[in-house]
Amino acid sequence: MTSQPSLEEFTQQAAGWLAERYPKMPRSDQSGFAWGEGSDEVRVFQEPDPVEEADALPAIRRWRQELWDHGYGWIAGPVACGGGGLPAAYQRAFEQLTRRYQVPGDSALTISLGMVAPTIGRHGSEEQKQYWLPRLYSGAQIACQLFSEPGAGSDLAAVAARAVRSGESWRVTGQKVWTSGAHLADIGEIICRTAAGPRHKNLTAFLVDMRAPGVTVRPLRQMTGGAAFNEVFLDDVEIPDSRRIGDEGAGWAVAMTTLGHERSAMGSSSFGGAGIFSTERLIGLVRAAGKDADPVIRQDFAELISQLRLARYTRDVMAARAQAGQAPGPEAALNKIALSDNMRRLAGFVANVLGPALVADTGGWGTYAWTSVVLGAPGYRLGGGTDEILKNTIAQRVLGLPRPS
Amino acid sequence: MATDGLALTSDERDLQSALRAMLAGELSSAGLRAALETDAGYRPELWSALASDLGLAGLAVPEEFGGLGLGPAEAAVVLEDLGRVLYPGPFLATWLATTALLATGDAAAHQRWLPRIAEGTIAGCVAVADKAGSWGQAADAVRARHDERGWRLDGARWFVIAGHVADVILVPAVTDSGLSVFLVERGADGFSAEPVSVLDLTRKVAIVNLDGAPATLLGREGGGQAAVEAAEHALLLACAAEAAGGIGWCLDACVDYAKTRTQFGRPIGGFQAVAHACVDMLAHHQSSSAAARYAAVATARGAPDALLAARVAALRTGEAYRTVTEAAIHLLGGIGFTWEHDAHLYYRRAWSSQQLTATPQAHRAAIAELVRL
Ligand SMILES: Cc1cc2nc3c(=O)[nH]c(=O)nc-3n(C[C@H](O)[C@H](O)[C@H](O)COP(=O)(O)OP(=O)(O)OC[C@H]3O[C@@H](n4cnc5c(N)ncnc54)[C@H](O)[C@@H]3O)c2cc1C
Repeated sequence: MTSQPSLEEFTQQAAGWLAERYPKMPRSDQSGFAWGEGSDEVRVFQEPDPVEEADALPAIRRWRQELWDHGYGWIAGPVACGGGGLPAAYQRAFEQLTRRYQVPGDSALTISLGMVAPTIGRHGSEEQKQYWLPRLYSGAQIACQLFSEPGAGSDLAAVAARAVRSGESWRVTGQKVWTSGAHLADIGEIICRTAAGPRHKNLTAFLVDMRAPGVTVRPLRQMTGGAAFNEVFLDDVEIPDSRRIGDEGAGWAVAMTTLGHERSAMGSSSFGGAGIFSTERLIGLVRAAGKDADPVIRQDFAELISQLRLARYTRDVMAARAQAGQAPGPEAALNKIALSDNMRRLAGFVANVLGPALVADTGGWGTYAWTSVVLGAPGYRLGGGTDEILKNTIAQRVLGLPRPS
Repeated sequence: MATDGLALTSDERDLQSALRAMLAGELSSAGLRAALETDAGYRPELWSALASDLGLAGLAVPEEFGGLGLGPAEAAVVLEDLGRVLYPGPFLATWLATTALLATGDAAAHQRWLPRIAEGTIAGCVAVADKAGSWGQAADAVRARHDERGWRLDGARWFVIAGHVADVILVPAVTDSGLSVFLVERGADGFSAEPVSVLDLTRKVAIVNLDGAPATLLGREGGGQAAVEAAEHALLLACAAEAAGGIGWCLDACVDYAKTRTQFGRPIGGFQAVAHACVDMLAHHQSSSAAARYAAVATARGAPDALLAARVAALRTGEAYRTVTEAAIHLLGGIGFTWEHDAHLYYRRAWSSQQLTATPQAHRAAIAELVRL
């Protein structure tokens, strides 16, 4: 783009582009939600059944490719790496717009685009950025995050997977666990131990080809019943040195970048629009249950709404401050804690409204479906760092308190 | 609401630094406590510096009347810092009165009172709550009647912030045409404002009695609803901004203490339970400050969600302020429970402010209505 379009021009063009290609949502009001219409699914994890998933993935890739080909794939990215070079506000405006259309969406790509891509953007070499970022943003490649191990969860620096150099490549052996989306991914950002000695100084980050010989992905069934995460075995897997991200021994900093993005990505996933936190959906739920005149339910409803809005206002104000150059930072992880708190509150509220219709399927639209939220909520407190670990980090890094023990 | 403009503008940052510079050292614990012992409950010198030198008395007064002509977003910036130091003077009351006076649209009253408010020579207040604390006009509403010498008010209003010092008192009262807003001058026959004992030592409230007190009708008879709503909306914003400031004070006091107080041979901030309590305060500070800001900016812009945002902010910050002040006293140990430590002044403010604004139940009922459940 030679001259930058105004935000209005951009939005108008983008709306036209979307309208030509994708059908509008059944209700194109702000929330895009209408009680009783369409699917009543309120899943909080990407865990469709394997058949559905096999169908969905090519559509997601096609969607990304379309976006990429028309300059919407990485609106705020640097031009040198194939991005649009526009301000972040344009990206947000585009995302808002997409909610009004039936598009495959990016929710399966949170790790790929929200975490791994920005990590490469920060720590990768120019060559790596130019090679990987267009591939990730165009959906040609999908990435997963290979950090946790059986012996290294909260204590990530305890990773034991070993990478040993041999000439121009590395050989990796070890086991990773809880790897979301490993079964869909083409590459994985992996943290390995590359030398003995002080824990934080001997880790190195790589991009491993998930289809390389020696990589075995086994689904792990979650308590929700689906299998969104996996265990990944690596047996003498070869990784070319050109796929090392950052210096040898600098893997901890790379991992911290990814985790920082994970926490703020999770914290800013609002599940808004037509999602589980939609005010319209919750009003529909209360009305359908015939409880809109119940003063206690009305109080509980308003309490929940106030918590959801509080989280939204906080995200919006923090985003505005960050844009204005006023202190962002590790405190963004507080938004992730707020999100998992709100998911638990939501589950509790829904249970009180639905009663037994939550726990036994009576066939009603928008009733038993909520079990996904009830069952998914505990996972949100764990993934991306548990509440305890996030608070430890914030205590040290934001408040300057001694290392908590 | 569109989300740009939520960060502080450079003018707002300038206002904030000027205010902080003026407050620095003025409200030390000893200074604050000495002021609290006086009848007024604040130091007139500091109020006059804030009111006139900084222009805060006329913050919302349009420039044509000598004020700063600033809106709710800037007011919230000021209130957050005043809340942080528990400033006991009549800024809030005067701002609420100005907001209501402007909303009456009464040009003559604007001419007469706004320049004096802006000069800082008179303080204002609004007297709206009934004995149950409700701002709705129930059976015991103040009555207004018109006789040959003009309007007269009869009745009582409760929990009137700064009622004991205000020079002009805005009172909603019922006439044959419905709710109307009147202005009563301090010293009018039949007017009295009795300060009562209060939990919050830094915020005096009075009971206002009106016994045939002469009053001026503001705006149209029966047209008082808009001014009452404007004042109530402003009170919600103020309650949130002040809470955010007070929570900020608690956070800093506790983090400092957690770094310096040692037990078991190390700073207590190294114990996870203490560290996490501090992080919880940080979370409350971040969200309260954001909610106060969001609501104030939404109001300034006349956004459709402005009242909802103000309700949400008042509800959530009200609850957070109580939680945080209670946690702060606990974290400070025995010293936190002493009269000498300022923590209890914040604890008192938190409980008082919440009830003087509205109960959480009232906020929730309003929120359910506003989103049209
Ligand atoms: C849904 C889901 C998706 C995930 N996706 C991925 C992924 O894609 N990639 C990936 O690498 N990992 C992933 N994870 C793993 C996740 O990061 C870990 O589960 C998490 O970091 C906790 O590690 P752990 O399970 O080993 O628990 P542990 O670390 O053993 O923790 C057990 C309990 O002890 C507490 N605890 C531990 N240490 C401390 C301490 N110092 N102070 C106080 N309490 C402490 C924890 O808070 C927790 O409650 C996922 C997890 C979930 C649930």
